[in-house]
Amino acid sequence: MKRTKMTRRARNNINGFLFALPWIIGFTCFSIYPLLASLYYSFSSFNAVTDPKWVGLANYQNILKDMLVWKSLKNTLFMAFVSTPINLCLAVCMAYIVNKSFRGKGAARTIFFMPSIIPVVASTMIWIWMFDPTYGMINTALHWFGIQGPAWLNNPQFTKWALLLMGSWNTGTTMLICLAALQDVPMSYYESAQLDGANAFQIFFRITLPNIAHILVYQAILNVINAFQYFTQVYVIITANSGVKNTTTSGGPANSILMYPLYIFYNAFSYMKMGKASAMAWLLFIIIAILTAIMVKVTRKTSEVAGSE
Amino acid sequence: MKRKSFMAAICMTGMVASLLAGCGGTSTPEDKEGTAATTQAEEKKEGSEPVTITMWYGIGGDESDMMLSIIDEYNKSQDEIFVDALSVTDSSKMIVAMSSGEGPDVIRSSNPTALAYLKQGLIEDLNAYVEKDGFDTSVYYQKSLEANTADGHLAALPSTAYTIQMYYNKDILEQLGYTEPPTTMEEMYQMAVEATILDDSGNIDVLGYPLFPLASARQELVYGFGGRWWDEAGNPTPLRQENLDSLTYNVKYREQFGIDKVASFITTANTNRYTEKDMFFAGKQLFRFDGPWLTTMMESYDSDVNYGITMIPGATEADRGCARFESNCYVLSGTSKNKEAAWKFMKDYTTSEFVKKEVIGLANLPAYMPLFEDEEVLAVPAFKEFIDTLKAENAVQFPAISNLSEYVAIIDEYLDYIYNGSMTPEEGLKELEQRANSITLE
Amino acid sequence: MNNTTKSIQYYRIVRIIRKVLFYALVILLCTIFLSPFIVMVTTSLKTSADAFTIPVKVLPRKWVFTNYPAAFEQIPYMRYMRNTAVITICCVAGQLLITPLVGYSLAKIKWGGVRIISALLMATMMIPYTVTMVPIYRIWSKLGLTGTYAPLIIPSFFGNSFYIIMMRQFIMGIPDSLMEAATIDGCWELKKFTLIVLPLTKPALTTIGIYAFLGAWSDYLAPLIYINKPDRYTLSIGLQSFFNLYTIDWTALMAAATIFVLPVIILFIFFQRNFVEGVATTGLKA
Repeated sequence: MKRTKMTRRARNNINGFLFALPWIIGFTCFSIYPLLASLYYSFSSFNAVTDPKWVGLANYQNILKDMLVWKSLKNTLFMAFVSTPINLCLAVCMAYIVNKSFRGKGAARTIFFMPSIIPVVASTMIWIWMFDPTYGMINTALHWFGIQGPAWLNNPQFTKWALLLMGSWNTGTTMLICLAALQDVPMSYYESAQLDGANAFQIFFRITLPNIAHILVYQAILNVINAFQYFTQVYVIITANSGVKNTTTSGGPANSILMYPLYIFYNAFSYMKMGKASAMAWLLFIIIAILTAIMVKVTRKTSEVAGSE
Repeated sequence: MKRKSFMAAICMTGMVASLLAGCGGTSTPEDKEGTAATTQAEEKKEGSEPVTITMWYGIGGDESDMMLSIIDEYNKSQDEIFVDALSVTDSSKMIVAMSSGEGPDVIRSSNPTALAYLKQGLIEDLNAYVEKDGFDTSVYYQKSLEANTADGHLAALPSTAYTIQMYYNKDILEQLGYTEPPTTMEEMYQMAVEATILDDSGNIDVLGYPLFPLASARQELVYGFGGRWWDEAGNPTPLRQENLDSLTYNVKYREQFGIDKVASFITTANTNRYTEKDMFFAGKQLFRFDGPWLTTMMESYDSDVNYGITMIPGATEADRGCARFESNCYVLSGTSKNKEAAWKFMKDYTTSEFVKKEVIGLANLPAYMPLFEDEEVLAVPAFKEFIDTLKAENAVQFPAISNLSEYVAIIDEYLDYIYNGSMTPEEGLKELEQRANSITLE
Repeated sequence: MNNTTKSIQYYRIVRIIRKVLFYALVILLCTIFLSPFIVMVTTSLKTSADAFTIPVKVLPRKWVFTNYPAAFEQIPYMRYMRNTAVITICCVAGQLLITPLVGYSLAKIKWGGVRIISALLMATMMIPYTVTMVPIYRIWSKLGLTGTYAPLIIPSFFGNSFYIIMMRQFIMGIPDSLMEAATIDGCWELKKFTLIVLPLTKPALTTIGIYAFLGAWSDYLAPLIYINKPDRYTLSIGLQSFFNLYTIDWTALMAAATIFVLPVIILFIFFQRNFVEGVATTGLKA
């Protein structure tokens, strides 16, 4: 009896391992190894053709000195911490709307969600065209109200806001998640609140928000991580703005949309400084790890609070 | 049962894949061209076995077709080498391809790129090839050779070159009562201010000062004052009095006519650049610093602007004609498997009738000396003026530093701050100097 | 009495106003969210001169369809489409093949690796692609596979954390009793998986398939890094061919973008429920 149990356990281990094997291999080759290799590379100097040569801390010193690294980090942090609240607020509002029952609800949900499945390259190109200061739809629409719109993608003061506007178009996924969370809040909570004579605002802030808070924090983490991967949009915008020239490694007007991943990309594949790119990548990894840890802690706290209520 | 349908679904996807592959293949015109090219190559192989080399060039659009047709003619002209030319416009692609040994044998690039490649060890140092063949490089215009040489190592063979001149709208100048274009920067500024016209709502209708294109404002408008972004040794030197002078005028003009108004004019000009609605073609720009191709474009759009071409004004009349000099060139990839054939192609091509077609087609200046006297080349509008400027020997070249693109990115950033008024020229250049020293200029 | 009817009327009016305002808000939001699509389609039906005429009109002054053939002519559109389709189909197949296996292992087999792998799955989702980009590039470079589709396709055959979590969640919901019957029959694991679990995962597979499709169809960075010959470009890379040296042919580009986006929208219309479910399950429970 005991023996068969042991063998079953062993068999389970073998089976489980074999079933998960593809992922284990993938994880080793495409996550753990690259992560460690990247750490090693960050202490070495090499370009696309040469092999890594150990240079100690030189890359990190180089990063500390390179103001473009800090500029790009600043840009990325701005995007992460400004876009996240905007997107979350918008998503909650839209979820709130489509959670009500009204005619055309399904259509509204579809319309809100659809943009988030459009290929980023395509949507970015559409937005570049919409942002055109003279012939773009946005400034045309502003003109109807007598407002002279700015040169969105050419004026360093507006580029990031243009990106934020563009990003808020893609909040469909977050909206759906918020919607699911809203639907998970027990109706009885609302009913008792209504009996207590609470108004809509009170209900929203006292009941709805605390009950979906954990979801919002989790979405915030994902949003921040996504912001740290912000690449395609700015790369396409810059290519569109500068025309296809062989030597451009621009960061947009006044480097205002030089995002961190973009600068890593330039370093790796244009300047051929793969060591420096790896050092930058590791710095990014550490930042994300810290941010995630903080946010997870916050989540635990908020969900504890929510749970205790 | 359900499993079956799942497997069927997978099979279906496979089938769809092959179907798509099949139907795409038959309906693509490019495909046919591709096969046509290969059959042609095969036909030739039967004869005298030409060596096939691949050549990538960073030109897209209509110009790309022109390059293809020139290379096609080259291929037909001889049966030793077959060049398989491909338009690849993304510089990172070139690097990635070269690094994995997938790259082409020959690349057409610009001289700063060629020098950067050489520094990174991606391409062949041509000195050895020149020596071995006893190839006389003096057939190329001296400046274009220099542009492709770093520390005595030749990175590439030049094919075309360009510099920038001042185009001016004759009618506007005449209305102001001037018969001659300006020769000094001071004079130019004076005329520019007088020529600038605002419409009723204060928007700029005619831009006097050549603040557009931005690349010219960064370069020629600074060089004209005697300014430079680097010293002889290639060290960054943004904080020079002359650079400051140039920017002071620049900002003065912007402030006089409205920083926002000037910026919005430039943005519109950028959108319409080199189209029918180009500001200069439409007579809305008094001065325009641009390359030799501008005339060709004006002709193709039937622009009726009455224009003249002259050298970029200088700090004094004697310093005129300070403009960037860049060269396009052919480099030999380090990973090429047919280096001999590739070298022969580069050498033959850049000293032949074919390069002449490239020169005329792209409206770029020649690098091969005999073309400077060639009638067809001189017949291209404005070429005479441009070639005369080259002879003035005031051209400015980029320094051979591998961090050039990073440096230029920083310069552009600070110019933007200065232009939009968030920094004074002094502040901007000072901070730029600090930052420029932070990037390692190797 | 009079007062009550008044207040009832008052409330009725307030309710109507509220309703009107609410609908106005919804319509406004919908218009804003739809406007990029509208701009894309209408621009693709304008002549170039029309698109560049002030005042800008939403609808074309003259409806033309020439931009569509022009888009196909200017870039080898069919070839790019085919390339993209090949990559996408391979990626989807890879994910569909692997995800249930791993999901099953984590959900239904009680073995020592479950906890650590589940934790690592979450962790890998936190690693940005930018961090591992250079070493992964070197792997493919050393294998001599850059420039081919291998770096774009092969990783799909090792599963994706996101989809695996989704699948694990789904398989966990399958009652154990179904499988216990099979265990008593002395059925071994693979058989149990293929005969009992796999057929039941169809809804999850559909959802994962759709997401894998979208991911591969829209991927930009990987093709940008790995594909260097124009005849192997995918659509997302190829669309950039419309950016000429100095100008952008916007009308043709918008036509090309419309055709690029169309399959995605069609897919969305057919599988809307799966999209919603996929988002909801992973978003909430992960």
